[in-house]
Amino acid sequence: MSKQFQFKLVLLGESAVGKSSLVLRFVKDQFDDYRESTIGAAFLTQTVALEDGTSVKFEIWDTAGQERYKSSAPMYYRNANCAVVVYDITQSASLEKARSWIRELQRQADPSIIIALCGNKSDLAVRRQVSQEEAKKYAEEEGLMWGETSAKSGEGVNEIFTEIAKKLPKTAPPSARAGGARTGAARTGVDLNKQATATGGQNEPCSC
Amino acid sequence: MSGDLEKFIQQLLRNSEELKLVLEAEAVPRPTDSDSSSSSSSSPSSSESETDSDSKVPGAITRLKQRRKDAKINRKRVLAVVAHIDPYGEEQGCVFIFKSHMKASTAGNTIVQHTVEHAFPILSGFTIAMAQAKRNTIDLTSASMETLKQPQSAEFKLTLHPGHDLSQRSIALTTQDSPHLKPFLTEVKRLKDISVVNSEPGATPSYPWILPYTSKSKPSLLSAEPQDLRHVHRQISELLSEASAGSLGDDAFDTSIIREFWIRSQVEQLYNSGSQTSLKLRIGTFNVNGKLPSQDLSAWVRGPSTGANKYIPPLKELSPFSLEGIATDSSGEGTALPFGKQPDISADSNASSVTDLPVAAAFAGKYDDPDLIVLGFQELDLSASALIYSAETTREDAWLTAALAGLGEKAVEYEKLASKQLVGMLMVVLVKRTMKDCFKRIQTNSVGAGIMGLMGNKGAVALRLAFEPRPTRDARHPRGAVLTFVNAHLAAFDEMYEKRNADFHDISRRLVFDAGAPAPGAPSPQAGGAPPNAPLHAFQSDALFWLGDLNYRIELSDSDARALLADDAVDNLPLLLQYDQLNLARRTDKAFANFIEHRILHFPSYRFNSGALSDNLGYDLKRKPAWTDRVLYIPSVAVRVQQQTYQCHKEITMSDHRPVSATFELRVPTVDGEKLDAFAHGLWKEVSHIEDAEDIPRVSVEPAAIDLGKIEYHREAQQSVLVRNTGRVPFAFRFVPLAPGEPICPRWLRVKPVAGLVRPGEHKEIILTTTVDNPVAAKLNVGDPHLEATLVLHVARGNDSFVVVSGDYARTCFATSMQRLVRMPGPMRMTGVRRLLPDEQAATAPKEVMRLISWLMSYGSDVDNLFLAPGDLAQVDEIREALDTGTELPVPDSNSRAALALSVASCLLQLLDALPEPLVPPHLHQACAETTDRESAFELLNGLPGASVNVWISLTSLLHFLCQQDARMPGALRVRRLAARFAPVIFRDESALSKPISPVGKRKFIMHFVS
Repeated sequence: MSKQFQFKLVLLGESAVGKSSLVLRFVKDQFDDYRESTIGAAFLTQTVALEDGTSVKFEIWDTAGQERYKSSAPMYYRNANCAVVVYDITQSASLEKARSWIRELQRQADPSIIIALCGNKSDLAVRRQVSQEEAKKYAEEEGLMWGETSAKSGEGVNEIFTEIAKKLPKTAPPSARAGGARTGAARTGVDLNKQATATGGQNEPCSC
Repeated sequence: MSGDLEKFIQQLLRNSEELKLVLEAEAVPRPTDSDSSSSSSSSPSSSESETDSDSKVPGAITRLKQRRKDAKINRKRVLAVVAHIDPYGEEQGCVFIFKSHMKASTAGNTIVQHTVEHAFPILSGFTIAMAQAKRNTIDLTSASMETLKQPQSAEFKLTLHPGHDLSQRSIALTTQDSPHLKPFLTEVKRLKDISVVNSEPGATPSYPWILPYTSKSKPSLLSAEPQDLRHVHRQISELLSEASAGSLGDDAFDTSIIREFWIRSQVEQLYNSGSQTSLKLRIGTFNVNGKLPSQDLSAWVRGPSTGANKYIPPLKELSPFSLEGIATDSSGEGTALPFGKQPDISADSNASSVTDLPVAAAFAGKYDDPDLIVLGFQELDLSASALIYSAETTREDAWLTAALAGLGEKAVEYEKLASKQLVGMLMVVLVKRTMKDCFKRIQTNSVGAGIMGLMGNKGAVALRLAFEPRPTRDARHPRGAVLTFVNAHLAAFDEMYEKRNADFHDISRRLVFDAGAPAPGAPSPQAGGAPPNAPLHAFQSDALFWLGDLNYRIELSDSDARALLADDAVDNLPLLLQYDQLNLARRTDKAFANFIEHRILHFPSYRFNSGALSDNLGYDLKRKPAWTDRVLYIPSVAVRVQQQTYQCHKEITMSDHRPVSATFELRVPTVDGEKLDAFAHGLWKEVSHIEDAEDIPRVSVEPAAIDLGKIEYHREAQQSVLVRNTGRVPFAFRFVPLAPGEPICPRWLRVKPVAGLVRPGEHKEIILTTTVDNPVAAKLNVGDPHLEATLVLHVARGNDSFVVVSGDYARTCFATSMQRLVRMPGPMRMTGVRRLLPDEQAATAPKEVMRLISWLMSYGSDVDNLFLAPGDLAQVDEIREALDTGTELPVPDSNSRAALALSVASCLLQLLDALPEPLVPPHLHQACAETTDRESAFELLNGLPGASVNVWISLTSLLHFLCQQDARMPGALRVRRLAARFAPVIFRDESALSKPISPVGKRKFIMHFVS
């Protein structure tokens, strides 16, 4: 009998660093070469099963990176348990933007928020402008989680979300579910290696 | 296996619910039933009736085996205990019974699906009885060898009882899933214990979160009976769950609401596209005060067709109080009725309103004899013995005879269709003989609401009928319309306002009709819906008419009410009607919410007395006159209602009330019932599964940014946004506020519709309208003129899309406080918002007001009807613009002078009416209205702020000057009319009518200065 915990996760970062692609890879294990930029915010969920038998369900809000929507971001990181701040390793300016998001989160978000700094597009390492050392050092100074990912190849994507899931406090479930002593549903969560197969026809389009 | 099952079930639940445990079971086949105990006839295996004829045909045995196998699967059930934390942190539980279905998948093989068959809220009365079933035979074909080896694999019979007064029946099931049975029952018990602790005595806790699971299989729209009119008229925004950017509401619930509105609007379009059948209706209500008929009732029963000469148009249609755009906006209500909510039938209804046609205009043409005459009587019999329910009908017969006599030579064309009496209340319905066969399923009922809440001295009698138009080529079985008529007599006396409201709700709740047998051809009620024989409420109609002696009074002093009625200088009826208790109840949703009443153009119908005990108008001196006798209605898309007359018949004097009548033309869409059902069900099929569709909805919202340009006071500007469905599944969308608890857009903007449904490849146009009324302008005038707002459009199971709306507000002196106006160093638009003169340099009075007054002194003093007749709207705008920019006011030539003067006067009135605080501060209103002499009136002026005193003196000097002029209108009359015109502006009431201040007193105060 596993316990499930539910957490709100928000993605922040400059426009075109690959936030939506990262989420698409994590949730659907897909990748689009051409994605339109997000106008607003997308909501998705994904569950991660941990080795200790618990599972973590992420409620993911993927926000718009464009500057003009910046004023609405606080609505999305409000009450968030964790934030993934994304930069593009081939654009050093995007790390600067990530720093400013992190400063804003440290100032305005819930003090217990877990922040992960994520350098995306690791498949484009030949065009790298942000060194791993630089980013890692900054993350250590600020007490952030850090990792590099490639939404295109999938490298590092599940790892960073799983690391976050592990780090989230499981003592007080955020939704304060009372009496969850016997949680009947044995949720298997996602298999990080093999995805999007186990739905068993439940969601087949109805033919009636 | 079990783990998979839990996963399947979990996927059927929303995020807000938690699956606790599942249990596999089988339905107990009932001998009379087919295996599929639900009524879903679409299931291919449920038609058992073919068996006999089939069995002789070769291959039938194979089919029979297949059928048994299907039946086996059809019996499969999954029980699930599901918990939900409500907004107050309380845990609620529910036992769902899922039914398994075999479905052919696209890949060609069959798959199992689960749908909710039953949902039992775990209330304190809910029980599961368990018994071990005796098995006489061992079914080797169904039980696997593994099961046989397990010693504990006994079969248990479970009986689920809903308990309490729930309309669900008990369900029996069997299970062999004994390992899960105990934890299952333990969990149910735990949730039941919580329910017992939380339950309040006498109250059944609500479990609204269960609704989306059960109601999904049947929107009420698709049932045979009409929807509840109260539900139909609710705004979608009131119903949707609370959500905001970044915090999800209840997507599944919202989707079900939006879908229902969408289907309704589609059906409305179908209604509007076809032909309509007209039905002429006359309604009369008469409190006869125990009298027997002794006069000719023709005027009341038959209306004006009895000799065209008799018909005198009611009071003048246009009064100075109905001048457009003046003095009506700030209080949120016009003087014209119906006010408040127009029947907005659907989220995006743009149907033109046919409800407020001016009586006289509609009536200029011919008057057709009514097809149906509904007469409601009250106080038919005042004798003590009548209080006991009696079946005596002699008085009914007398009134019926009198009514038929009132029809004169037309009487032969009519006959009685039905009647219903409860003590003093009687309803008689006459029908044109040629139309009689169009009225079917006639039912009557009554409700006592008098002494002890039951006696029949107060209450209602009611009649429900189905109007079925004659078949046409396109509609062989027209759906027709269900009409309900309620004749009520509510609690009497001025101070019983709350009791009357309570009577209305009591009658609404208790007045029901037997559902009886469903109409032929009606779709059978689907699983999960109301039981087929649930009684029908009066509101489950296509149109409801409510008439009677409702006994609502006028919330003014006796002397004020009489003085206003007697004043022949001004049409005071609109003013008096503002203080009418029924209008108050409707405005505040205390009673008769969503009902429509035509503007009243007649004098109060109560209470008359002959002889010395009456005033000059004939009203009893001991009772304040009141509009006690009323006719109201609620229409729907299935019945368009146009009222043609609303009259009081003063010539019928036998009672202390005067009878009131109303004439309507009803237009019933001539739509074929079967076609309509097929259409609605087709739509339903198309959109019923959007919550569970595999595909993610895809939306494009364009443009993502809108520049509205210049945003002006009282000038609406529109832009639109297109919401396109670029995906493969229909989706439901709604606007959500950026932050929790806020409106979806700022007050200077309106968004319509606020929610909707879009099918793949289609789009929905969202209209954005800027509106700057006085309260909005008051805020905008003192803020940053650049306005920007982000609209958040949320697609269920999909994205939030943003639309950034911006514009530049043109500030105006209108709706700017007097204190601010005097400190403006220049014209409004020429001065920065923060530049204000210090107090000691402030002007003595606002320049804008003084410019208008001095213009009128120079050019307008001899213009007849100055302030009394409306100005030209465009000219008023020009004048306001001149005030705001500091340009010269137009100098008139001799031709245009009078018209221009009226516009300048209108502009001045509007400017005063737009002041955030009225010229005389509200705390002085009472004292002003009580002033009896000129001297104390002047003394009261000392309490006004300096600038207000200066405006007051200039304004009253102007008015005084006007009344001195030679004009066609006598000076004294002009004084009274001007006082009546300015009183509601200068002494504007913001608050509701809890303690109304005498309107007559306000007028007198002004007259102290003007005459």
